[in-house]
Amino acid sequence: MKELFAKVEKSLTKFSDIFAKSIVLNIISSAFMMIMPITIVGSIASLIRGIDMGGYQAWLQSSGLYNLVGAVYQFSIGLLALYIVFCIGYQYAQKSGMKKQSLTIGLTSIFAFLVITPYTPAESAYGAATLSTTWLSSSGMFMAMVVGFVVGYIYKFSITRHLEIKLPEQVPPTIARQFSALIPSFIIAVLFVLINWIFSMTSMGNAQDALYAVVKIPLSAVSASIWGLLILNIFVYLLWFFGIHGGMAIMPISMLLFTSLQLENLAAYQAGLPLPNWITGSYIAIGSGSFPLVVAMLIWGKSKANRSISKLAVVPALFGVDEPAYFGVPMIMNPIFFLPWVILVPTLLTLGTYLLQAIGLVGYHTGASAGGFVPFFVTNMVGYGIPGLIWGAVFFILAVFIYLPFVKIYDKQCLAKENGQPDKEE
Amino acid sequence: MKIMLACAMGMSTSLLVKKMQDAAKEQGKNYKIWATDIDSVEDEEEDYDIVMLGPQVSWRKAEVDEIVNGRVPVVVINKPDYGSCNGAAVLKAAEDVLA
Repeated sequence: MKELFAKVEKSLTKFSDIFAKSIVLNIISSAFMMIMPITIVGSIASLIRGIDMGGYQAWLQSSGLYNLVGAVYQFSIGLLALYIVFCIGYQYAQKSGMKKQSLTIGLTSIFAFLVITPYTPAESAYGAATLSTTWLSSSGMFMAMVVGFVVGYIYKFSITRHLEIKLPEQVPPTIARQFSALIPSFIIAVLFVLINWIFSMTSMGNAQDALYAVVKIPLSAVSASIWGLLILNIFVYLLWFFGIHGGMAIMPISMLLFTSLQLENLAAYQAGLPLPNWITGSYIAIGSGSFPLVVAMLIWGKSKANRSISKLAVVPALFGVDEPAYFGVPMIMNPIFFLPWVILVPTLLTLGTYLLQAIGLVGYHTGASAGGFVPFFVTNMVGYGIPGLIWGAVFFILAVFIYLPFVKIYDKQCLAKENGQPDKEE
Repeated sequence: MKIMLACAMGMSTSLLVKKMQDAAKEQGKNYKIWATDIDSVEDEEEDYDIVMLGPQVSWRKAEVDEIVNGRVPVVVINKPDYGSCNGAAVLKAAEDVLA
């Protein structure tokens, strides 16, 4: 049995290694981390705008706060693609040995992105051009990432191929270098104008529309599949079972798949419109993995070791820090907890949320985020409102009872060891 | 001695840091111990004598090895000590490596 475990652990570690070494995935996840303050502020703004309780909405609109807070949303999450373009370009530079040019590359990425985004030119020399926010938000997310990578790559290419402007020897080298630094920007300007021109002759009319049409297809496939989400969740906890941070390992993928779906829901939510997307990668939460087990252990655990670790781990677990319980109980590599931890509870939550939504007892996820380290009832409230709160409590109690028999078995083993009786397994 | 811990977001290691600081104080040692997230190891401006990784990010040890480039030892914290936040044990482990 131990050999089998060791083999699976090895292949999972190798698999996570691929994620760790993949610069592309690293860049994406670092970029999303960079803009977290913006997404959280925007989430709070959307919550303020979207909550629908009693006379709240009426008051909100009449006081003018609705519009004021709307600006907060509009210029944070409502412009997310624009921020992402910068962050991807910036992170590309950071992780490709071009740290000193991170800002330049980030800024040039914004420029390139806007060049291929449709806009209305000024009517006269002193008039103002208008840029619609359509492509600056969730619809433009994929293009933003593509542009960031392309711009970063062109800079890298220029540097590694030593594309330089040769000036006469009398010119100080610093000046020559200044000119050479302009080369990537010129290449990018020309390239993107070309892209814009080519697409303007197609039926789509511009690059943004074209990419969106292509990307919509797999996105719709993902948003139709609850089983895909279930497998992803089980995989996260499988990784954790072997002591590998599951959330971190799959984060770039889940960001790619689910962010624009969540943003679409958020846009609708804060405008008071019906939420479009059923599957957004979220589900009703009962802690981030260890909380139900720790609570079960606190209530029914009798062995000294279990009582002390559960007391130590319970508050961190409530706030989303599961490691004390994972490593301390230990849950990790503990075959007794495999079934409830990796299979049963994730299935309960994923399919349970889906079913509740199908019946209409719980709405779709708002797309708002409360950050990763808040108690689960806050997460549920933010994501699903009061129904989420209630059903979250129900699921939590169910989860605790699911863990109960397994906790008891483990506890018995620990008690036997503590009382000096020989133990078969360890 | 300057000990830097790193894990996914610096959250779980911050618990351990507190326990390690308590243990060091009890033993009368004036150590500097802090935690960071693994993505910020590269940008860390303070110098450190050892990097200790949370076991759940041990799969990224090779990355950290490259960043550190042999200047200081990089070790993965022992799982039971990490889980039970055993500050004294992890402190001793660091001292043993640096001895």
